[in-house]
Amino acid sequence: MSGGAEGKQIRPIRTVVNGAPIEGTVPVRQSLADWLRDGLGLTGTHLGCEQGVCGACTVMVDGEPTRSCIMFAVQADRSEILTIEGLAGTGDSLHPLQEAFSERHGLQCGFCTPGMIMACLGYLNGEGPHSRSGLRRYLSGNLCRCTGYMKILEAVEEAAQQMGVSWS
Amino acid sequence: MKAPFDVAHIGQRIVPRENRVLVQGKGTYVGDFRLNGLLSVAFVRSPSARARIVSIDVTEARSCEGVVAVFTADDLLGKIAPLRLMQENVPPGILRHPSIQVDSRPCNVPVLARDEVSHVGQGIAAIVAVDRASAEDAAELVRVDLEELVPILSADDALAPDAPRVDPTNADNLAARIQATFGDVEGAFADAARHLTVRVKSGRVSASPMETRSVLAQATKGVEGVTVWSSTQVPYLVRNAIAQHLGLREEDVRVIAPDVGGGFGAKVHVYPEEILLAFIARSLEQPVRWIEDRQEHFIATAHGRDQDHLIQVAFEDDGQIRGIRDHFVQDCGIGFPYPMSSAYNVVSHLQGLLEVPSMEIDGTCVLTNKVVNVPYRGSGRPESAFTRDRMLSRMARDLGVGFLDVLRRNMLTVEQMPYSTGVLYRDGEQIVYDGCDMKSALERLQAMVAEASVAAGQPALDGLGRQCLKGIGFGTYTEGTGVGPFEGAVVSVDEAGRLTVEAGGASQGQSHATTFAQIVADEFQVDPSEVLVRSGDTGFLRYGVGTFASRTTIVAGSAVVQAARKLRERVLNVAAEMMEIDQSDLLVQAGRVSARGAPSRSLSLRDIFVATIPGPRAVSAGQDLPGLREVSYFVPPTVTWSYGVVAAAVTVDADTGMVAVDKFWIVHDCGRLINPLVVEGQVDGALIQGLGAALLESILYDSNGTPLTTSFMDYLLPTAVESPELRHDHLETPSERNPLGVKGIGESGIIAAPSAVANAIEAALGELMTDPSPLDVLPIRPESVLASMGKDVSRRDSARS
Amino acid sequence: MKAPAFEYVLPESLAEVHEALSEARASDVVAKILAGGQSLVPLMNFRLARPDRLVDINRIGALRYHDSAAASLRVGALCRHADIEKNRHLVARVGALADAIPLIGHAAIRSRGTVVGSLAHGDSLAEWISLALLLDGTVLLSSTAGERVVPAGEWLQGYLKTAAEDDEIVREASFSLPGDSDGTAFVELARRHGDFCLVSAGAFLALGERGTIASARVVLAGIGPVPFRDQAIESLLAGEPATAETFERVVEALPKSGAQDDVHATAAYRHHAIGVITVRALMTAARRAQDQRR
Repeated sequence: MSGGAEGKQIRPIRTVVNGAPIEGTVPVRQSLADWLRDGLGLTGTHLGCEQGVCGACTVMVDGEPTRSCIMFAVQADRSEILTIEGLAGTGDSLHPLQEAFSERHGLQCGFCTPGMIMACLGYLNGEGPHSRSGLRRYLSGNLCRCTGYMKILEAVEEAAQQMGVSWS
Repeated sequence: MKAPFDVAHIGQRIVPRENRVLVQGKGTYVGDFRLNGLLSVAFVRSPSARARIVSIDVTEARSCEGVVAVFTADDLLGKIAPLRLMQENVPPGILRHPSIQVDSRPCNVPVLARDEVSHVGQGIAAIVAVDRASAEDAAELVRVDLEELVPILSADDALAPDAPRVDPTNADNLAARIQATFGDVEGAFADAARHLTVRVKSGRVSASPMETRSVLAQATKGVEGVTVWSSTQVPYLVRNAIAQHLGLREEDVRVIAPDVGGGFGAKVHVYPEEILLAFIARSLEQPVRWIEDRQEHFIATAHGRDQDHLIQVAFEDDGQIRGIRDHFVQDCGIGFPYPMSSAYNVVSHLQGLLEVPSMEIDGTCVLTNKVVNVPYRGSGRPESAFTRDRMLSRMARDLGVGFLDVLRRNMLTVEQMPYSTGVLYRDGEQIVYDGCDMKSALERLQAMVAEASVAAGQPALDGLGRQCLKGIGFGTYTEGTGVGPFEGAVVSVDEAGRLTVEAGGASQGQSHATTFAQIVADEFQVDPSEVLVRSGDTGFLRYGVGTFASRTTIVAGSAVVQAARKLRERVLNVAAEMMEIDQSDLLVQAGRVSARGAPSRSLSLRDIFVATIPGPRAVSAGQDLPGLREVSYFVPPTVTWSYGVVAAAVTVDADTGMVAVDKFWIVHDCGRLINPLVVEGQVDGALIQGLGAALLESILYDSNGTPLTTSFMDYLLPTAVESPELRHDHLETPSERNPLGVKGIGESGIIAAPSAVANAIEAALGELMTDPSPLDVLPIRPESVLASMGKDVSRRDSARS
Repeated sequence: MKAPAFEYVLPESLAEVHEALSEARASDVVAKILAGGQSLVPLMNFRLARPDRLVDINRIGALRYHDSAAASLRVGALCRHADIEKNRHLVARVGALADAIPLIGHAAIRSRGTVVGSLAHGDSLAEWISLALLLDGTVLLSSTAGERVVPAGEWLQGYLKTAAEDDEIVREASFSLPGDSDGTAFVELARRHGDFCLVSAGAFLALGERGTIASARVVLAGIGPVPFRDQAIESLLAGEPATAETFERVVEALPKSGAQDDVHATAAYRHHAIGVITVRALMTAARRAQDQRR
């Protein structure tokens, strides 16, 4: 029963993406990740598994870190989405997490990085207490093959300090 | 000629420039490009490990909504020959050597399967459609009629008399046979007081970079050739293969590796998809892209390792080794393009920094009905180091002493350097260890470990009655790095007076651009941020190889420094002529050339660029060629030897057999460090990949050759929880085999980590371990830990690697 | 790995959900509820699940609730795992929840995935399936035909196979909360943090007057096609002192077969390990019950 009328079903959605209101129509079967990447050209969000395991596709949906590969774009109707492209403010400055990841070398190939940073943002935004071991558990859903995680943890601790998030 | 300079950028922990771009999500990986009219490709892949193709029916698929074209092998007949895998030559030095024999066979891998499929995942048809979802819909409608055949799934299967052929052109299912001897092995085994035999296995693994493979090809009507963006480590090998297979000139094929999300060796192979996408782009005159999904990645992208060793050692009562005999089998899948790396690396790395008077190595590399086996980070070094270190552990057990005691008894000292092992490296040159001081490395490591004061082998019961046993273990490695044949670099001054570098090699996260900028910054005394660097594009240099085997900083970096020095010389020549000042009275710094002592007399690099533009008033300064552009190719004399030692602290739950690694320490020597921050990152990543191979990662098949581990839920990569704290220290013994004094570091930790973990488990179990042999098989599962304590919890069925 | 085509329906009320499901059933079309999607959508991306119709219930805000005022916890269809995780009072009260919920996947999965969705999906290694058995749970099914309750023991019939009819939605799940002299615990053994478990053991101990076990529930997963309460062990525990010695002894009665070999562990390992972690779960439950009494 694939293809046919169901294959063509599209629906309108209204969202706010990185602070900007976006109205569009999406094929219902299209994932949020694919819509962000192909529909809106926001290719910073990456696909590592399309199974919800690696975390590379993590974006914020209504303030919650969300695996955009296992959410349909149509479900983002009436939601606010924040991707890596929207994390820095306007101008040249980066978000403290981006700054810290860069300075501390919390990345190498950069493919897991946008999702990793969004997940870390979720961690820092969440209720504490915050600690390195808590961060490790939180990040167990974000795979990195390059860094061995050490410098990611150091980067988040640095960013926490910049952001005034207390750390134990 | 090397100039003295005031500011050294080499050695500085400069934040890689790549980072700032990537943390903003502004990287451009192959999947990110946006082109008008871009079509998507999905493959129909073989569900069977071995079968005769009776028929392929694509009629329904062709008329599926959104489909533009469907290709099968019939469409390629007469147009693309099978991909010939023989990417490594056996050098004359090895072919001539009286006691080394290498029989290395080419393998032919079809671009699309025609008469037979020979591994699950092999491409049968390519669907080209307006988007990937439509292509996948159509792929489901392709009807493939297969007559199942019995697959070859092990060396035993492959080498059995009358075994069916994995590759129709290869009669004995042998991908390669490698034999090397030196010294009097027979005599050693006859005379020595003790012998031991150990069977050591390193299982099949997947490099699993976070970015899967991806190929984008574009051909323009009326323009010769094709441009291909590929998530590859070897743009030049891909270029040459596409040119050869499609009958194009190499210069008309451009292959670009843009941002690449990790490679680790899986992307060091030329794949059928690269040839095919180039062909399709030319056929359709439309750009086409294939983005591999993760499930495909596990069945269509090459795996690594899968070596099974039987090692025998002859030694004396005082622990001194007299001789080693190592026979191993490697399961190569349908092709083995790099036998000199994966398998021959055993010959060059088995002894490590041990003094071994006689050695015999015999490696049989067999073809099986699995995906191709390529060098995964370490490539034969981890397998052989693990084999050696397990052998040393057994010797220690036999003698009633510690692992480090046996290691020290046989260790080469710095006084013995440079040390000729009597074996050739895979480049055909004598192996001569340059400046390896394992004793100092070991002392440093023990000091670091002692400071952490972890109690080894002391059982503790926690509140849950859990027996938490702690232990520390060690592993060592050597790494021949910076192998040839060459890399090149172009260093120029552009019309704005900017220093630019176009280098060989390609990056998948190693921060090469930053490293090369530091090199050039030193030569020209500018800030590294002012040096523009690009690489990974065959359009920049006519000749190149790629990034693998810890070679790029050494080989491409040396080409960069050579070209930079040539350019600096040229700049001075031109400036001297323009300013009428002797070269020796000129300084190059901050984008200008100035007179020593009279800084107001100066020229900018832009002034000098303008002066060398061709024309009647061009300043030639004794050179025919206009402009400020110098090319250099560096051909290394041979490899240069990094080495190091790793310690692991583990906690073993004796009741469940679960192992947690609590910490890794490493002391490494990779010569001169250009960027210590980059080096740390490489070492960290290598250690954790080593942990993965030690405890978690395993590619498994069922008895039909159907892969059982085809997702990240089944193939277990270490997460932030399984990964411990990492501590480094290093020695710096500059290399004399390249102008930078550097050695490679990319593999390092991955080589020694499994030994350290296995030895740590042994230390933790202490008297509870009655049989160490389950710990000789990687990955070490909880069942293996229990088995080593005498508890049999083995499997009933026949899942295998 | 792109999901196959499907029809998408976005009801605004429970009645509309019923309508969509019963209409699908009548037209012989497969309809699935989309709540968190954390289990269903990956299967769709693999094309292992191919519902013709997805009924997205996320607009029905009234379904997002959980209520632990009385002796039971009632959880609405849209209550996310994270909603329970963040209820510190509830988590402190029920040790098994404190143990199990942080092991459900990862944070991003818990913020979107739902308790009811996990029960409805029916993965036999899912924590909530075991917790439903441990806490004497019930599942409330709702359709155009009305509502009915299925006890946890009758809920999961096989891997991904529940007692729900095609036209029913799980509207609510209910769990009885432990009392003052009760202790609960949940222990999982997994290859990595957050993975599906190899085996898990849930323990509920009600202690009597003299600290002996008045009643016990022991829920085991990973050694059979579905999790189950081991009634043999539960009877052996009754009346015994809540000590390590008791627990080590009763686990001898664990089933010796039923598990399967797979890529993660052998059957034999699972049978060995379940003994170890059952003891640990019982010890923790006992300690918590004892602590409560003081």
